Amino acid sequence: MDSMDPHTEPLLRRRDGAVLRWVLLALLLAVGGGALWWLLSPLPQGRLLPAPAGKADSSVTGEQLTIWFVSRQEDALIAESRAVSPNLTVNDRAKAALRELVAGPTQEALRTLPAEVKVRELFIDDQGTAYVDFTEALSRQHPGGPWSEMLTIRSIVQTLTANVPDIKRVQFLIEGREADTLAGHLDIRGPIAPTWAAHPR
Amino acid sequence: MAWQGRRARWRLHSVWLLSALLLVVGVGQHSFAQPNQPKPGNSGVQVIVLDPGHGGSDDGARGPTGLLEKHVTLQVAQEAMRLIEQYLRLRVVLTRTDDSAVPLEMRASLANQAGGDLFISIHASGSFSQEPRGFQTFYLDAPQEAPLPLRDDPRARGEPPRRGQAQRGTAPPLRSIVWEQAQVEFLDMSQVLARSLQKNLRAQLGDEEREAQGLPLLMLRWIRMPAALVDLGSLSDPAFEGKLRDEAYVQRAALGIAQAVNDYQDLYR
Repeated sequence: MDSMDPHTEPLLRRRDGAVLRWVLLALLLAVGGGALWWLLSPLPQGRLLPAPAGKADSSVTGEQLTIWFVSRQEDALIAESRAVSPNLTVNDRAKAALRELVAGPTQEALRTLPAEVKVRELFIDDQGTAYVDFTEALSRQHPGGPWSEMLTIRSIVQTLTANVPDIKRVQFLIEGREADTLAGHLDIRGPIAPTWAAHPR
Repeated sequence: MAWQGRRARWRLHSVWLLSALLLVVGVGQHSFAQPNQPKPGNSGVQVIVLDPGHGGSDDGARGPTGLLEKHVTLQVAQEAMRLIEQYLRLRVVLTRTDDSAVPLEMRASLANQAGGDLFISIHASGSFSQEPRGFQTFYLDAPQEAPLPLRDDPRARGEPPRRGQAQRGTAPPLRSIVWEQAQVEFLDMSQVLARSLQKNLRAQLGDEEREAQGLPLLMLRWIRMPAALVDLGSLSDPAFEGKLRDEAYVQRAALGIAQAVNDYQDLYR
């Protein structure tokens, strides 16, 4: 046993080296794969960065709401004031503004939403996007046409952004889902800012 | 025997190579096919795509006595088709020829595949008021501020962002960019078309102060040719609903559209 073949030892060393390389490669792959998985895996709820719940706890003062309807000629948005309880939460103030918009104008102006519409849910993220979930009536009862759709969308966006400073843009949802259009014409797939289709002013 | 084995292997390799080549060519054609090449300033207006709005279960706007937008738009489109084919000798393609529902994406795809040179979408509209609101034409004016929603972008499907996605600026698939940007290089010519439609409808249907206007019209984004949308007026207005029941009024509207095509053709001849 002591007299080991001179050709055997180097062979064994080469094999040891190869095994070591394979072990290192496997380690590298495991670490790299783990890092990749950690980077690409969806964020669980607990890890969601900025907690949106904070928005609902904050409050906005002010006893007036400005609700935007449309002129009888349908060429301008017209504001009407409504009284509202002070110290509402941001979400409640936004919902109150939308309820007034659905209720319709009291003066010489036209409504912009069907009277049957209800707001199912409203959520504001940390980027200032309000996700507003409307009932199906918003599209089903809408009178239709590109101009009417534009007036509806602008009055909602204007009313929300004017009364709730936290809201910078609005993402429309209908029955909990994103929609392509309200009634077949205008693109509402993404969040909409007050500068969108900035006419009538 | 050896040479037979080599021959069989060679034949097998040839088949694989040919299949791979066909696959690559096919995918390339499928992903990047441009049914009609951009024709800025091209005088050859030969194919007109007319798009009668709505249809099937989608009635569109409804008049006080029940006249439906989907029937009006088909009637006007068919009459405009007859005039354009008969007097301008141009080929007309309709995105629907009966009361069937055709999704917006399908209409855009049909127009692009037909190799259209002009696209005119025909609509009427509704209103929360019964006040008169006359015809108006529109072209695409996509908002600059809103991020472009992309079909294959997880954000467009409402899926949560992945860690680091915003920082890395995940590149959207090329195909969705091509589809979403189809109208971009035709925006100027689309405005010319919309103004021509507004002018000729005014000549046929009477004074209307409104001008052609840009709006974020979803379907027009996907149209790869000069494109405009005609709104004939508010069906909620009982008087206008009555006019649209009159065949002569429908013919005048169709004539305005045909004349606008003729004017556009002359402009780029």
